[in-house]
Amino acid sequence: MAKSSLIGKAIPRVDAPGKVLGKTEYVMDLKLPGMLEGRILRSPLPHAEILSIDTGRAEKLPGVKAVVTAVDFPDLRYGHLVEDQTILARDRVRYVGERVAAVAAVDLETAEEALDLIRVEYRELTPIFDPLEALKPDAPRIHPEIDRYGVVFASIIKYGNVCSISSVKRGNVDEGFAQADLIFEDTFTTPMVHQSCTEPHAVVAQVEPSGKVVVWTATPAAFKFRDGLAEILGMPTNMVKVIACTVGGSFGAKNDLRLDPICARLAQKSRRIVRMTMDREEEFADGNPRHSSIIQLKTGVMRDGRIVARWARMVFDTGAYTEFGPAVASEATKQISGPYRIPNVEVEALAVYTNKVSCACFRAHGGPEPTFAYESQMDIIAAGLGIDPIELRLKNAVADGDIAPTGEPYRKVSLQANLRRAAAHVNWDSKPQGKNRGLGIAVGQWHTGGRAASAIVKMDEHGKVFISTGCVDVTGSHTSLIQITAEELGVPLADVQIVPIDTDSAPFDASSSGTRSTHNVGGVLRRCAGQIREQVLTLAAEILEARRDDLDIEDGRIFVKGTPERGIPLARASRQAFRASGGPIVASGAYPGGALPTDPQALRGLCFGTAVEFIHPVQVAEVEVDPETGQVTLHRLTAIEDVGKAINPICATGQIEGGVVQGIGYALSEEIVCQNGVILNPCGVPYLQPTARDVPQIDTVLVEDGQGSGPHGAKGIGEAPIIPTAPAIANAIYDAIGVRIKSLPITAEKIVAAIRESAK
Amino acid sequence: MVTFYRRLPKFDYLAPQSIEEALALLSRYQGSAKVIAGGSDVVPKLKRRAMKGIDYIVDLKGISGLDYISYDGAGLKLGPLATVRAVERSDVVLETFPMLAQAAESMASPQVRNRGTVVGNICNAVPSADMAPSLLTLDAKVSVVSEKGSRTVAIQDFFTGPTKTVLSADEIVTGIEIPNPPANSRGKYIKLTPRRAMDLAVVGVAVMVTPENGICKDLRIALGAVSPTPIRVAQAESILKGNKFSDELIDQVAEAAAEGCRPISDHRASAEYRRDMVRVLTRRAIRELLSDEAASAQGFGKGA
Repeated sequence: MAKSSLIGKAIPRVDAPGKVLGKTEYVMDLKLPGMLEGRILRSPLPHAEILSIDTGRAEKLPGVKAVVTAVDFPDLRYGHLVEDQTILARDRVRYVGERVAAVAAVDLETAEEALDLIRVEYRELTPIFDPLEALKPDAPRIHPEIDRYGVVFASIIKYGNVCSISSVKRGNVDEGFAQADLIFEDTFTTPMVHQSCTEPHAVVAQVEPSGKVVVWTATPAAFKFRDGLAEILGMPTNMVKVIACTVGGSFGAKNDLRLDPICARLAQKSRRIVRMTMDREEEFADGNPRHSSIIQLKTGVMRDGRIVARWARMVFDTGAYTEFGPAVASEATKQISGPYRIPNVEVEALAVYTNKVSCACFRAHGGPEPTFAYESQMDIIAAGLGIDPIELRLKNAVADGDIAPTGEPYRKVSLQANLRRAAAHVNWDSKPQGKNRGLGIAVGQWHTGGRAASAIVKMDEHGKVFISTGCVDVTGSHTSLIQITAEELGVPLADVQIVPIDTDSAPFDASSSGTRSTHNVGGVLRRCAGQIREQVLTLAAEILEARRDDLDIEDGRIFVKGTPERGIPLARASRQAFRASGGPIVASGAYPGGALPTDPQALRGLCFGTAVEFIHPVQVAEVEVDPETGQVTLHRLTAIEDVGKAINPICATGQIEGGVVQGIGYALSEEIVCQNGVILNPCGVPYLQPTARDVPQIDTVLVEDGQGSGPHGAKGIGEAPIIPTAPAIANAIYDAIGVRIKSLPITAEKIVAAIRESAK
Repeated sequence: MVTFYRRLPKFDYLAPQSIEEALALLSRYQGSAKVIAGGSDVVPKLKRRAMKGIDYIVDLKGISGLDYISYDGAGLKLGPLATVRAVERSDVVLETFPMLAQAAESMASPQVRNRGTVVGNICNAVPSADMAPSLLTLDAKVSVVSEKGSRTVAIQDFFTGPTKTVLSADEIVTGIEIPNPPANSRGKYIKLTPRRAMDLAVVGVAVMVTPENGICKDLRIALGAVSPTPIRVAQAESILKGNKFSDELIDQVAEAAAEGCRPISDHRASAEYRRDMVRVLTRRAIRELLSDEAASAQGFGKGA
């Protein structure tokens, strides 16, 4: 066993050369014969009744090939959780930018000219922008028909302007608070923030002569798109084919249907191929950003630092439609207790409608918001008790055998070890303090491995390997999947490819989201590759007249262990399959998904199960604050990441750095600013994502304990790194200048105001 | 009504080969023609339909010889096609007017700076125009021509309101002249932004100071993003002029500068914060310019 393993090898991503050279084709690069351009007319009003839509003049404009409005779609409402959406506004608009009508024309100029010719008559309704206003009993109803909306999960509770309420209860918080030596109460707020993928949403749709709709689109969830398209278009699922193209960033933004059904309907109506892409401004107006939140958090502690009670109420502004709001609220109720042992817990979270863009998933939905709150408060408690922040966390950190308030069990937890690693990495005990410099730590908790995945692996007559899976590469995961497969089979990396994905030929995958691709699909591929190895070795045993168990494969060659000169190329054995009765060498497998068991007594409302295992990232921020201007300089960000096993350290590190950078933006600068429902900073310059100049040195520490339930002991990593960054920075700012900012983003102006306030 | 326009509105694109030809076009089409150089401000505005009634675009880029950055001993001359990037990297600017290079470098991204021009930046005349505060402290003069004749406008008189200038529809800026700053003067531009690149100034402060034996011989302070136009704050300048430098007087200057501006509140910053930062950054700029390190790093060349 002297051969070097491909597992853990830092090979460059298979998609890197095309992307670096600018040769990779994205949906928006597709040019098909006779292709039309589609554009969307959007609501100028945050809340209004649609009295009439007149598309007559637009339809008559030369070059216009189709115009669609809501009446061109079956009269149904859809949604992942609450069925409250229509693909184009039917009788009411509920946010500025809502889709009202669409046009396909010979070129963009004509399409946009046609949009100007559509007349929509509105009657304005009172809008609500503040979720707390929306909660008042006499608030106008954004969805008067909410009671009639269907729900995808029976546990969803909805009423008034609330599309979901979830809660977790354990022990008795009143007793807990009564017993506590000290009680800390704080309110935190977090902003609506945008994924800002490099590639905007884009789709091309074509109708085949059979009537089958073919859609080229960028999504991590091809099968979900296919099923949704079939539902909205009123077609059987096998009459819709989704071709999953290269995704230029998703972070949750491309998990949901947006342009696709409109584009498909325009293609049907015009009998032409139609392409639609969104502008950067449209991405903001009608993307699905992260919810803003208001988090009230009350924690009771003993003088020695033990947490004995936690109460929380969290309000998530889900915008005009439910989208993923209930899942975010559900996740937040689990997140808000943190990876801490708390005997008495009573927490609830609401997803509330307002007249703003609908919010959905953004990397670790429902994770960073509560983590900012509880990890900021951990440092408030530490300061209040005079205990070191790491000591306080260690004192309360969960370990193997503990049970979360939801009833979910903790197994193979590395949190305490990761806290100690973080302390060692940054020399926590001998903080290199300069004036106005500070160190801050925060932990996070996420989960990995949920939802179903499958794959088919084929070895051809040349010994080359083709993987067919519905798992779209949005993170570099295909590189890791190829490594896992090649390692298992003993073939060179170059002999393994992943077949371009479409829903007709690829086997099902839930979605490349939720920290699951390498964990779930990698496990399936490892097993498939093992089966293929068996088949080919059995064939080789006949040819070599050797015992199967005496054979091994290395670098594409099968040989007899002990006498390695006795061997044949793998292709020789794979060809044999066509002479033998077995047929082509194929293996398939699936992963069912799963969730940890919960305690039904503890939960009320929707509760999405935590996937198969918890992961615990830890981050430390080192900052310097200019007390006069309030500007924060990040000197270093250390990310201790609970990866189990890095199948490919380049991919793993890249994922972590990306998450940290998004976390930095969340902490310090990003915020979608709405005024009367209109987004004031809807593009890349006014919306302040960090630039290269804003990002400090990031020290990534890959903790490889091999304890994950994925292939080779890997855990999922994708979403976790964004979670602890903001509270780590907030805590470092406090350490630097002694002011506590409880509202993200922590702008320079907020810091100056807080310094002034504290001087009073 | 809400269309997210990706395409430009329809207009005729005119590419004159000479200034005379350009002026004739402007005179013929009066208010319906718009001059562009780099187009980095005008084109996005057209796309957003933020600029109405433009039927003709008169692009100066085809006219040769307008991208000059020249120094003749008495001062610097910038042509209307001198890009922000060219000014940022010009040896003579770096040597003689480093504050201008500093302001240029603070703008947008290299791609935009390669496209946009310094003249275009002041003609666009947003309150946060990064080139303006430095040009104001340098007492730059703007050369303007039309078919009717030419005139020179002091930069102090050039801006009339947010995105408004003294230019009439038939006029073109043919250059900026920047006289040598006083001997032994030092200047710097401090731009406060939430993000370290590709961001607009929340406050821009340009300060030029001429110390002589501990006395402030001359002081010029210009502010961006805190009033309807970029401004000089003469009242603040006068406090130190002729006096010995002291922390107390510098504080008074900073206070007067803060009082001399009229900032607005928007989603980028409140008026209060902007005013505070004028005070902080004015004080900081003067102090840094007086320190020896700053003198060598940021100061004007001796005798320039």
